[in-house]
Amino acid sequence: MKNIWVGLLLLLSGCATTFYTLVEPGQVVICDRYSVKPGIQWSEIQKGDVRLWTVDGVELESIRFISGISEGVPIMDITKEKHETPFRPDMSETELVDAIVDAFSLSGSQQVEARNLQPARFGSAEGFRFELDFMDADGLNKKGVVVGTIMDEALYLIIYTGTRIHYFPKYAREFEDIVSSIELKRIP
Amino acid sequence: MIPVSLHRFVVPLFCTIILGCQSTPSTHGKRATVQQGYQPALDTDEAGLWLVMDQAEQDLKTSGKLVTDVHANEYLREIVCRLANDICGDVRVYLVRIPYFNASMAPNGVMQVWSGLLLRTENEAQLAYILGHEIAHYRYQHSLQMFRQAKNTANVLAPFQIVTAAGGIGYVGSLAQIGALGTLMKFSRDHEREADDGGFEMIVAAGYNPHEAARVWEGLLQEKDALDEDAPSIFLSTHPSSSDRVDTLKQRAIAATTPETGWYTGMERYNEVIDPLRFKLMRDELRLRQYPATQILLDRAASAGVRISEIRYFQAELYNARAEEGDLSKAEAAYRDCIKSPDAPPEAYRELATIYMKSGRGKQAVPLFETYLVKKPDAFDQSMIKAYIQRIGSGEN
Amino acid sequence: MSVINRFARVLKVPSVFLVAISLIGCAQTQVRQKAGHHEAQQSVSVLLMPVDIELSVLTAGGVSEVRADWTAKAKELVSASLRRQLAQHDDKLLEYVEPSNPADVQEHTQIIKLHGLVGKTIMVHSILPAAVPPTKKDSFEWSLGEEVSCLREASGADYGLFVYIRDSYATAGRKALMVTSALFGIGISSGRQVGFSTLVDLRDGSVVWFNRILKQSGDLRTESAAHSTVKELIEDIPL
Repeated sequence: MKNIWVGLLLLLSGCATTFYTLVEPGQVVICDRYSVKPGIQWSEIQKGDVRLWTVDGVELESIRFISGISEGVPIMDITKEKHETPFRPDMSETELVDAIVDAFSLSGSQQVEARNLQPARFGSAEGFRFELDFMDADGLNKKGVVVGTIMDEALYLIIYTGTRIHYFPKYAREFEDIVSSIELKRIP
Repeated sequence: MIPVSLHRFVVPLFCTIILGCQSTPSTHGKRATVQQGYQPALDTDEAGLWLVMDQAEQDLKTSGKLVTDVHANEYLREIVCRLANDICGDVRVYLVRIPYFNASMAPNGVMQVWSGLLLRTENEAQLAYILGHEIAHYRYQHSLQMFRQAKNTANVLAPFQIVTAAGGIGYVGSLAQIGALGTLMKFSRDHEREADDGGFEMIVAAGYNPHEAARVWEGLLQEKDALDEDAPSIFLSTHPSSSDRVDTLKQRAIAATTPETGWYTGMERYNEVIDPLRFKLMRDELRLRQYPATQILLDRAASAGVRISEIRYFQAELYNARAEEGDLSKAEAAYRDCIKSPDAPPEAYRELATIYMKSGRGKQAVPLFETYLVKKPDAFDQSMIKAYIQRIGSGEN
Repeated sequence: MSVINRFARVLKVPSVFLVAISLIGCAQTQVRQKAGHHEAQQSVSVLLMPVDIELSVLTAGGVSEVRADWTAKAKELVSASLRRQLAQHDDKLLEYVEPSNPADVQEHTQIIKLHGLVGKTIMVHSILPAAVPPTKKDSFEWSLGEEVSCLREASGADYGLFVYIRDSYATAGRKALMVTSALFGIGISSGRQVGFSTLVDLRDGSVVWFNRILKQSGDLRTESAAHSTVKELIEDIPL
């Protein structure tokens, strides 16, 4: 009950409140393992192990930082009822691709295809990346890039998705810069 | 591309059209039939229905739900035309990427075939029977009859809307969004009988093996038994049958006169077209996590001319997906069996190699990874596999 | 999953209260115009894009079923009313012609779908100020992409006019306040419309004008409701 009044107060108190926090360009600590350096402002929502960045709105484009998924935990935690593949530290990269493609499909994306899986740096650690083509539930074309690594038996992912038309291309360069700027805090 | 065995169709068709001979007696009297190029008169209620159905067709085309594989679509159109004869141009068939067994016919000639169906029909004759059944719904204007009956009710489209009792299937919601009318409507038992008859006549006239008709239903019933009571069989609930359906079809098949050149079953051609799609379709199937039903599908595939190497591969994939106790070693054994065949899917090599790599048998993994790369030069993960080979080589695994 | 639902959960507030609360709050400008866009001095040509409308009924089972016959009727009435009411402006209205090439049809459909998503985003921002990302607070910058140039090439038009309407009716027996995914988790009473119209510069895809429906207009299958809805949609359109 108390929370309703808090909410009301917050909202009435000037309409300047937002549920997002503003992320300024510069060093940003994502989790206890790494930081990145965005070059532009982003708006962020955080929930548990997931941090969601967007500029225009999460359905148009978003960068999702998923950190420290440990054994047995569903990777994208779409919904508890859907049978998502739980993470296992011994998963190969191809198995991770399968699990992520599955998670996208289970959450309503259509015709999800993965392309171009390759090894990639995650800061100074060895990781992987791949691309996604899919459609949302209404049939709107979307694209994605997934970058990830397993460190100390836990999974770290950065997932960039956006509409094929305009929004994905708009921040693709910035996303690559963010990935290049990954700095690990402890060498694995 | 005309199949080599087309000559098998010419004689029976000739017989039916020119000489009017029928291999099976019609069990009903005069049926209302639609004419070629039929369009309802502009100022009728029915015209409004078609307008709405035409729009639904447009929505379906841009929904992102279609399987766009050119060969598969051409194959379906070819069979439809062979069966539909004069009304061939009025029936449009769409292959929809939904992993359940279903086919439907809307009032305006739009036929949907769901991708789950292609995993379950075993040959061209079985597929033709289902398509013929749906064409018969159109030819005998069953949808129009349902519409006319509903005309004085508050919702004339009620028969064509999503049968929400079929809920529990995730796709129902998204179908409702695209207004996929006529997809999950329920015909009456009389309609079903007529469509069975009509479909049967069509396949016999086209020279398809009529014994396959009953087998389609048998397969569906077998799979239904393997599932929970709650899980609905979409096709069975939208195509209600009398208990003697299977027997009736069997009797009629026996009574049908075998043409001189024999019946055409078309197992090889069918597998040739469906093979390239099977990977995608099986992935969709496994994602449903209905392993007992998928197991039945695999068991039947063995007798349906699907390559043994493919069956072994998908069996291994099932074990991998199910991941119950003991499944990992079962998967390993199945992959090993699979690659004994020279036509084993390239992915089998990769999967077995991955199992070896993860269990400290890196040396055995390398040649398998290399074989995978050779057999699949355009593999989406080739960079990754090359990296595995390097890692193993440098002693990391 | 809708942003508003997520927020509601964070605050442990039923999402419906969130909307009620926010509407008490600050007034939001209904009409958004791109900074620097001036009303056209000379007449321009406007391509009337096919209206993106869906009328649906919320069944007792909770599934939102599109009623295709209602939708067809509403499309017909809204399109006709749009043409009539726009004819009062000095500009050249161009009818959309579906291309013969299926690939072009697909691309145009993608643009229309993107319009739906962009428009819904603008709408959520205008209804719930707390949902506006800080990076979007001070600017009105939206685009349907350079791909719109294919529309300009096909028609010669300077601008495209897009309309989006979703109208959902609850069947009797539903509770008064429900959450529907089409309306991003906002609790609604039956008969509430979601609708907006957009003017897009076909040279670069930028949204130059956006307007949303604020009040209910009733049954869109009737001419009077279609008329008042369109009137509200194109109010203050800079043509």
